[in-house]
Amino acid sequence: MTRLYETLRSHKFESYTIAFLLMVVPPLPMFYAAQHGSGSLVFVMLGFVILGNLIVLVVK
Amino acid sequence: MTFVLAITPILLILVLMVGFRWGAARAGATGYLSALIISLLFFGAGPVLLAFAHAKAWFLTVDVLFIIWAAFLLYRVADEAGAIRTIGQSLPHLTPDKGMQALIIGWVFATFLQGVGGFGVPVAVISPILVGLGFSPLAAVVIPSVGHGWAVTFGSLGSSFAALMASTGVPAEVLAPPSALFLGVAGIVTGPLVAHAAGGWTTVRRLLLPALLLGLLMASVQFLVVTNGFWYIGAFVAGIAGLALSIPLALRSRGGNQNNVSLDRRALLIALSGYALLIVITLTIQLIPAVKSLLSEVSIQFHFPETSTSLGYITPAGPGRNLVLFRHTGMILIYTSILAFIVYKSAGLYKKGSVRSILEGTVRRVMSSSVSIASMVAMAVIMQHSGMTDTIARGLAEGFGALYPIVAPWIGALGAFMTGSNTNSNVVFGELQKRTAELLGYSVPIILAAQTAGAALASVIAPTKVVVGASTAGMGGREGFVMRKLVVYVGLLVTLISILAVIGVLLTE
Repeated sequence: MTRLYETLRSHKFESYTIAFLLMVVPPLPMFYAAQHGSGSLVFVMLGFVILGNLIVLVVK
Repeated sequence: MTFVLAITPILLILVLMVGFRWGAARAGATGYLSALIISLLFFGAGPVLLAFAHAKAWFLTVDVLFIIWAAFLLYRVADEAGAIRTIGQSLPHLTPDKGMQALIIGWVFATFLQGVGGFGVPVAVISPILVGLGFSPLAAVVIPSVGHGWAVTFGSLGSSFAALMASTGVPAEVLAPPSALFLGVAGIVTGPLVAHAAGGWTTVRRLLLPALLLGLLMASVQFLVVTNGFWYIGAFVAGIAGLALSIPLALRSRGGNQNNVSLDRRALLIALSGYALLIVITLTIQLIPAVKSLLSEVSIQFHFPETSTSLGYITPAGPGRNLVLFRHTGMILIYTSILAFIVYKSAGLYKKGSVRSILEGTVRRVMSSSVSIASMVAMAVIMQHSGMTDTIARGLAEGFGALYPIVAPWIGALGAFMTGSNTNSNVVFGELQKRTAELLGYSVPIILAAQTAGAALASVIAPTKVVVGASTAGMGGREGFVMRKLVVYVGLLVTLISILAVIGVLLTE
């Protein structure tokens, strides 16, 4: 885990790029999932957005 | 209790950025995660509500980031060609008068740079020029910092103003007049403040007339430009008008003696041509109906259904933000960037590998702010849809009541101070200010104008900006001196906005 943190921190730009993609890609599938009543898919997509924000938190 | 829970994400951002010196990206992510958890656990937000809130936030994020990315691309195209340096080096030749140099470079040129670039560029570019002209390092940071604050909302090619429109849903034609008026008055006062920072009250008295003339011209031009639909070039055109008037004023200050003027006019014209293209393209698209209609054909818009929390807070159904792809401000900036690149390239201003350097520089520079904007926009929309914003607004309305117009610009200022940006402040507080104004029965455009004006003026004392400014002038490690000096000028300007907001709500009641 510590190694993962260090890798993310030492590649700040790349980490931010991944985090940004995780924040901006899932909302559209999330919209369609909500329209079709697929709650589980909404939570999966929400998980990606949360992951993106967690990456930003780890990268100092 | 619900008020404290609702305001927690905003307080977290404030405490983490100011108290713990976290960057906007990390603090924004914390704010987002806390808003998500609080909305789920305490405000009854469900998966459907969160899904639609995220999708709405996506449109707002894309709308704002498109402008920010494209604006910085245009800046990099010009900077890589040496255009910014050429313009900056040409200005000191106009006058040997230190006070006039402070006004022209530290205020008028700073306005122009904020108009086209922003992102801390004015202070970073101008401070070293002023140090080179013999100003003290402290004055070299303070002068452009104070000088560009009034131009922030309509600068950076309108990204802060776009954020305010996107986060509140209030259109430009309603928001632009009071915002331009408040910032224009602040702009007129900025001239004498810059003169004061350069040489005290003696310089203010000596240069009061040219400062007022420049201020009136730039404020009027910005007002006319933004109230006629061209909000994204307000500060840019104001800066050009100011530069045009600076030449005769500077020559007058040196008694009309032009013998020592050694301007490379050709280089200056080529440097400015990239920005002239922006005006040409903007006017072509706005004034030729066939072009406008052709570029308006492709647009993306979703319709959002009504959502409600388990506690009964309802967000009505309605269309999301309409993205008119080929007529979007961001796209206009991309057209300009491409044509400007061709002009600079044909003038032989680029070295080998410039394209890569421009693109890489752009992406690397904007990624961190993109992440923070994506987080903060999502946080603001979740708070809005779950009723958290409404809860805070009710608390503020009860707490401040009739005094709210005095407080509104300080809330904007606080947001800019803690997030380092007028754009972020508008995203975080825009909807909250709107809702509070509605609850108190005050004019929404006036309160939102106070929000963005306070945020613009106070963004210059954000710790992140002060650190950058101080380091470029050799004041690294002495940021406290810069901050102490700046706080007085910014405090005066934000107080002025409070007074204008009170007058505004009294007149509109």
